[in-house]
Amino acid sequence: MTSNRSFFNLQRELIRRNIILPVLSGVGFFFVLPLLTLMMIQSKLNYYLLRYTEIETEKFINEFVRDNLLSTRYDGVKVGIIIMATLAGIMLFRYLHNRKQVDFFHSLPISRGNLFIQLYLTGFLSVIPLYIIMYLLAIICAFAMGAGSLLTAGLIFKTIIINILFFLLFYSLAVLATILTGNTFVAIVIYALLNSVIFLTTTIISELFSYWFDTYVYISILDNIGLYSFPLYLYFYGSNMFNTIGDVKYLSTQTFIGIVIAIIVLIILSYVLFKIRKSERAGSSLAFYKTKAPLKCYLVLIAGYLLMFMFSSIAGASWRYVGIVFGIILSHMVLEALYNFDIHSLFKNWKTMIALLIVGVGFFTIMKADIIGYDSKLPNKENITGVSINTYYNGSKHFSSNISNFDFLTSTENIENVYNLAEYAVKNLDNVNYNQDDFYLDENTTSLLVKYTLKNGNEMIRRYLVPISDEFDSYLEAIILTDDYKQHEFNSVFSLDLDSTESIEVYINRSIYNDNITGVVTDTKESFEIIEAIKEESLTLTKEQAENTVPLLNIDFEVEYKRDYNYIAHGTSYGNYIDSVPVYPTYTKTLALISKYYDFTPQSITVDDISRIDITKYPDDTELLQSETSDSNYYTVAITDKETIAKLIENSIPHDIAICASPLLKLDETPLTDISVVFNSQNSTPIYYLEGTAPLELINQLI
Amino acid sequence: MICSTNATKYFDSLCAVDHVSAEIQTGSVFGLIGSNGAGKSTFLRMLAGILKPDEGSITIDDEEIFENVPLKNRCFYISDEQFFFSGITPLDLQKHYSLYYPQFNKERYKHLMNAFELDEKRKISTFSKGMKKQVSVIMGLCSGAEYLFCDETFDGLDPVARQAVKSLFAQDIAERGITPIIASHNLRELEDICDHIGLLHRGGILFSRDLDDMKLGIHKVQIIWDKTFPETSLSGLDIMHKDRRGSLYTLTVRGTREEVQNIISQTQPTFFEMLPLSLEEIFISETEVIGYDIKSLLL
Repeated sequence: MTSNRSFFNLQRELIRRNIILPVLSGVGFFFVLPLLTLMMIQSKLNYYLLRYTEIETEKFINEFVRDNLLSTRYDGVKVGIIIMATLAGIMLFRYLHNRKQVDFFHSLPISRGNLFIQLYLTGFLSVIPLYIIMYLLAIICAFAMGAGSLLTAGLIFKTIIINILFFLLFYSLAVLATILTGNTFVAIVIYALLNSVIFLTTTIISELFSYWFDTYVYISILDNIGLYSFPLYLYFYGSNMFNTIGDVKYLSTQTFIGIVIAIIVLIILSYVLFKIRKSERAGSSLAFYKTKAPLKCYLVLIAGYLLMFMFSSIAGASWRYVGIVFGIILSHMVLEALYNFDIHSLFKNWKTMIALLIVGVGFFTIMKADIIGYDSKLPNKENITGVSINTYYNGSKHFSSNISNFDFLTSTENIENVYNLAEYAVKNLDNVNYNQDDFYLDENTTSLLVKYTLKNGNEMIRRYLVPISDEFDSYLEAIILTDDYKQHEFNSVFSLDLDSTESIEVYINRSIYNDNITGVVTDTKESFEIIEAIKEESLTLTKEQAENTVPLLNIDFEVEYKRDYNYIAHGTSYGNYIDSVPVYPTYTKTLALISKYYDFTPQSITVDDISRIDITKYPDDTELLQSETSDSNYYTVAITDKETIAKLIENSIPHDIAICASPLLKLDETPLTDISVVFNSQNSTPIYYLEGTAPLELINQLI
Repeated sequence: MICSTNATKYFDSLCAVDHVSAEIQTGSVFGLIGSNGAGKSTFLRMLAGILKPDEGSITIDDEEIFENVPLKNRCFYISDEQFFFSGITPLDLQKHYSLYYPQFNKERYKHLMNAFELDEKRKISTFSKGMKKQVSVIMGLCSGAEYLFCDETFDGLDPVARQAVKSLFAQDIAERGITPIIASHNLRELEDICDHIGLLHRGGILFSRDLDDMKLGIHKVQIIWDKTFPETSLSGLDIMHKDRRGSLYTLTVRGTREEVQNIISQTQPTFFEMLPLSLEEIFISETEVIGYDIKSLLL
């Protein structure tokens, strides 16, 4: 069996003996490729021609064929590839599960290694050539119907390569699962497990961490490992990345290489296991007995924790242990029955079951007690190179302001400030009010997310629930006005990458009339000038100005980046949208540019602009207890008298202006009262007052 | 020569073949007999290179058989539970085997198919059990293999086919010097064809001997004494089995014909006759000695 001729003759013979595979491939891919291509194009033609011109229809159809039907995005082919890969892998190697067939194949004068190669190639050659033929037929059909003009050789090549790659991935997994087992049902179970084992493990680890540690934050790297090790996810959601030229080259190459390596590892592993697999294991559940115990332990513990998640999500935290115990016992029984193919073996190895119960429950309990000090752990301050936070600052506003940054804060001052915040949060970890199960945020509590980058390149992330206090606010106040924070805060003009901008629009909002967009600057040069000016002037805002000055207007920036810009680092869109950037009276350069490029002068609200003012009074706690129906909970007084309106709008600040202002802006409290201005256009906006300027006496009289 | 040295095979905790040592001379017909579950099929599968011994070794002409492709090219295994591809015909099967056995004799295949009146274009799945066995034997004989491992091959064959197969084996032994190793329960069949016997019992080998030597070494004698059983006088006799019906004693004894005759003659029996011992009787006697008593199964 060494000559090439013999090799190919045997290959042909094996394909003939497994003729069902090429037949199924041919029929299946014929249906999902040429036939469905014709049908879908016809269907789209019928639809578009009724609504669009012939030229538009042609464009749409060609785009549809390029972007969906004959690209890597077409799910029909993906389903076909997965089904055929699974079928081929299991069908060709399932002889290992039958003693008669094992005796037949293993008595033949062919080495196991050679037999493996022959069988593996048989699966590949029974499916892939037919897929390629049908795909090429589908392309011919698309061209014949005038829908293939956008198909390029590169796209066709990529589509074929990616589908072959994923076929090999699923096929190798199916082959490995079949070799590892001695029974086809168990092989299917193991195949499903092999597909999802890393994803399942990382998800459960992540979930367990969130159960164990109050400060745990889902680690994206853990999720990524899970998802990128999950072939189904990669195929259906990841392979699209291969189709786009430019933007995602970096990711696609990495993923591609990763999949190729995974396939090679799987093939080598299967080859080695196939060679050492004992023939007599046909009919047993697992072919390698040494894998039985570790696999059982893994599956039983996973099942225990899965049921814990389920039970606690349905019935609450007190059912956690019931879930673990139930999951471990049930899965142990099922596995024993499966291992022995005997329902009477449910309680076999009950001592192992008890040991696993102790491990499962004990491990969970120990970790829940946080013996490793995960929650209270703070990094060594000397090792921190950058910090990031996400929390809310209440100050004296009626609403809390999100304090977060898009990029790490690196100044020593801010590292110190954020570290102080984290220490404050750790100090309050034992506060029973904030770290109980099922605790929800209330008005005295806020969340604090802290992320550190360390000198060794690692990242550390924690999320705390912290009591709002003067101490907490003081740490935030120390951060908010630093240049470092202003340059890196979320929704900052500093996050705009002007070098990569394709187009930009600057929306100047007067806001006071709540008719929002009143001017748009679309010229890139002019927009850049405004951005540079606002960048420069925003760094000059002092604490006193931030606390006592009201912005005159706010600006939105909508940017579209160049197509070859690597947007991955900045999110998942091709653009960036920065909204409600405040323009203070001190930003003279910015205001001059706005006046220059868009003739606009900020104005105050006048009585003539207003139709009426609504003052809504909410009941206090005592009144709430006394009231019987919700209807009587609040009432609104409409003010139409011009003189009263004039008094009410004096020193008032419209909502859109207040909300874009610095979080430090000091506003007056109007307890249990909302004041809303209704303009002549019937648009309305809530209004607030600078600290010490609210006409409280008048308001009290009116309500 | 096939040589098994302490070949041992475990199925989980069960020792199916327990340190079996035996030699099978090339050109001989080796019969592998044994009680149910004795490990005959397992031993045969090890000889054919399907199973790898957990301990010990199996060699053919001083080479390990397991994963030895050139050596396996000289071997052919006929399973007791044959496997045929779905929808395959004898012709397809012949083509299939020809890929593995380059020396496959297609002319002989045609000849034998005709001789056994088997339709080479009919699906094997439609064949009877005996016909399937015939197909397997034809494939084995035509493969050109020197060593044929036959597991219960005669089971299911009609007397004519059985005789034909025996003749074919004899012919190939004479012409090509093949070595058939036949595992079977049907000891009468083996008796006709085998010249060497290996007796397996509960995984271990009891003996492996030349059939003629074995027959010469064990004898069945029927004796009538006009007095009581002369136990003391027969103390020099290795009695494997004793049975009494009225005054007639039937003894199975070990020893040369002359030794047995001398000792019994000295007891002055009224009637004394030495009968030929069948392989089946040898099997029963030998296994009874180590506790495998047919009577205990019947009671």
